[in-house]
Amino acid sequence: MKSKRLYPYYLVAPAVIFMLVIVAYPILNSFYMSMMDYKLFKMSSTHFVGLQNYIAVLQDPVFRQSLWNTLWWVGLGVFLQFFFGLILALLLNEKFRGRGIVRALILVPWVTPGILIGLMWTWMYDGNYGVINDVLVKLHLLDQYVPWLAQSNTALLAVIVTIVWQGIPFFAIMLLAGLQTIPKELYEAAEVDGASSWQSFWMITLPMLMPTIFVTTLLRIIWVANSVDVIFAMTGGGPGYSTLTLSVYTFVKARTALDFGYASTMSIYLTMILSVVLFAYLYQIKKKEARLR
Amino acid sequence: MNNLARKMVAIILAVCLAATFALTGCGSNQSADTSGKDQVVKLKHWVWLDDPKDPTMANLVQEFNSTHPNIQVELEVIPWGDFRTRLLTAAASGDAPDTACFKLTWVPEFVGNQALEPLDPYLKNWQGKADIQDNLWDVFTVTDDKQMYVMPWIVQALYVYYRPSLFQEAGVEIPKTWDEFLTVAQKLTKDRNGDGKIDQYGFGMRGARYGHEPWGSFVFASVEGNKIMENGKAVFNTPAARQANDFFLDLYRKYKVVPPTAPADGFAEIVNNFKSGRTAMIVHHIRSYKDMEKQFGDDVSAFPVPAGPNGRWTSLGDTENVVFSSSKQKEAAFTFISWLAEKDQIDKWCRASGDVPVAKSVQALDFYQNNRFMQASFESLPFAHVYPVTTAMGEWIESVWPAVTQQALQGQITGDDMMNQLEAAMNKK
Repeated sequence: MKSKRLYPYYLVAPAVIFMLVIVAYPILNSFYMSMMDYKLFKMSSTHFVGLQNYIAVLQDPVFRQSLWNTLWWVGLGVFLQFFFGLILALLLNEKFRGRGIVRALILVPWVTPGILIGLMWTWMYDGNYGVINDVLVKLHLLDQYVPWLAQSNTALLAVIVTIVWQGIPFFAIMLLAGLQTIPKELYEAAEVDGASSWQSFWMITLPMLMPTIFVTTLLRIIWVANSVDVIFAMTGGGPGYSTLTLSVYTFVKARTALDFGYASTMSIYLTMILSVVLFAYLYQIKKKEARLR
Repeated sequence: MNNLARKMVAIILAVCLAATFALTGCGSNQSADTSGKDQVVKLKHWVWLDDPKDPTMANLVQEFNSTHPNIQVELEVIPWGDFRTRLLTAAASGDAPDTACFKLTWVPEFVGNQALEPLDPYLKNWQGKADIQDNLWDVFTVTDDKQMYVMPWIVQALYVYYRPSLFQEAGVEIPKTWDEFLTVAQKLTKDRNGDGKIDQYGFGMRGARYGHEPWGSFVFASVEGNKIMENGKAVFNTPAARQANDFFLDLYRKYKVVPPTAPADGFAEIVNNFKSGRTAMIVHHIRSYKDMEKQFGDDVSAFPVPAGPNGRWTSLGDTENVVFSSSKQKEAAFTFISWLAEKDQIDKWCRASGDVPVAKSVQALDFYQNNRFMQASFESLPFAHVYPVTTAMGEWIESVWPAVTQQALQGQITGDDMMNQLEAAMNKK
């Protein structure tokens, strides 16, 4: 009798153990390290310091700047990805010749590794030979070459454009899938009622697409906030601290200062901020499930 | 990711293997403890290679193995980008190799973890000691306990690459002082194709990572005794040094003799700009000369960095070899790294890589004496120094220097702010 009651637990045990090792352990370990003076070059004098790291991080002006940069990076970056992704999805939802090929090709930026994208765009932005400068000067939009990545006031925008380029396909494909679930009858009914195409977009397409938009945006916010590769390859956080986001700063602290305690603390802060987004996401899923039931 | 996957597979295999032994009762205790005289000693040596296809290191190891039948060295090539962290984590978890290629700046963090073996007891009996460039033994003693932890191997001193044809065209001579350097750079900054825009700059400034090395030649030449740090405190932030720092910043801010991309320019950018003729001078070391010669033939040469009010200072690049204290075969390990530092081996390596040899007998060979870049290096060695070697320097070099310099170049902070921040970051405990 008893073994029968335990049987289901045996079945889920591998999954639970796997989750504990892969997810719970690193998180708990980060918490542990964030409470320690944990420097890779002073392993022997590692000791408990309580909330000292948490206070130090809040007093760090570089942390505050990187928080501000992260807001721009995520806010503007994800919004533009969504905006252009939606336009692309609407276009791809129309019937035209070669649609299948185009749908496959637009995925290219999404499947390209971030480091490669970073290197590619670095050379495109190059202030001496870059193709972007070349085109803009030939179009007479610019008088002379601009060192995009060497100026604080253009560098952040330049890396945001890059991440937007990378993320548009993801939005396009997700939203396209959402578009295809909208019943055609709704549009036919709207047409009968004399709605313009603009009206049917606002009254049918957008509301019906909302759950997909919401979930996709939230996922992408988390990914973009956590992404290191593109910025690290393009500017390393510079010039100055102008493109240093929280995740890049964390990476730099762990990798160059070898200060794992401090880096863990920053990643805990980032996790706390992202948790707000995560709860919104879980709430939305729950609402969706409730509706399906 | 690939590595992770490989590790996972290795772990799974290891677990399976352990399980097999446990099940069949084959966990044997017999294999250890046979350290007789004839026993072949196995060593693991870690290196990074700038050119992974270069077989020179592998050939050297093979030669060592065939001439020392009792010691067999196994070479493991680790990518440069991961080398320091891989080595640190390996040492912390007790999995360090017996010997490895090493950078002087890493000494404190490894000594702090008791991971390196002091070499003085072994060096006493080493024949080749007198052949090593004399000042290196002092330069390489960097810890408070005054012990030698590294075996000298190769060095590079930074000097200035320039284009003789561009100098001739502008009617300028090799600058001896930084003031002359500015005049030369101004004459070399010009519009070549007559479209009203500057397309050739005098100097390729490195504002991104590792630009602190050429920067040091500007600033420390103004510091009395060229001292950066004394008794654990930064002492370079003097009024004269701040003035020299402003001079450096003004090359970009005021005189505009460097490309406008300078704040973000790293190694790839300065070399490309030089090779495409966009800049007429850059600071780098011997490792670039083959590439430059391929591009320009005779139309590229070198001179030591100019002098400031307190003489010259240039940055010394270095690669040494070390023995880890966790090694069970320290004698054999020392035999291997000291063999690498002997005349023939250094010569073979330096011919292939283009590094500057540390052995005086090798420096005297015709091959090195007839090479103008080697000559510039030899001329630079007497005033070549390493940056202070402390645990704070990793972050100082990799992220503090680029960040504050880039801010100062763009005028977000003043030159004095920059110097104060650099001083504070160097004093960080």
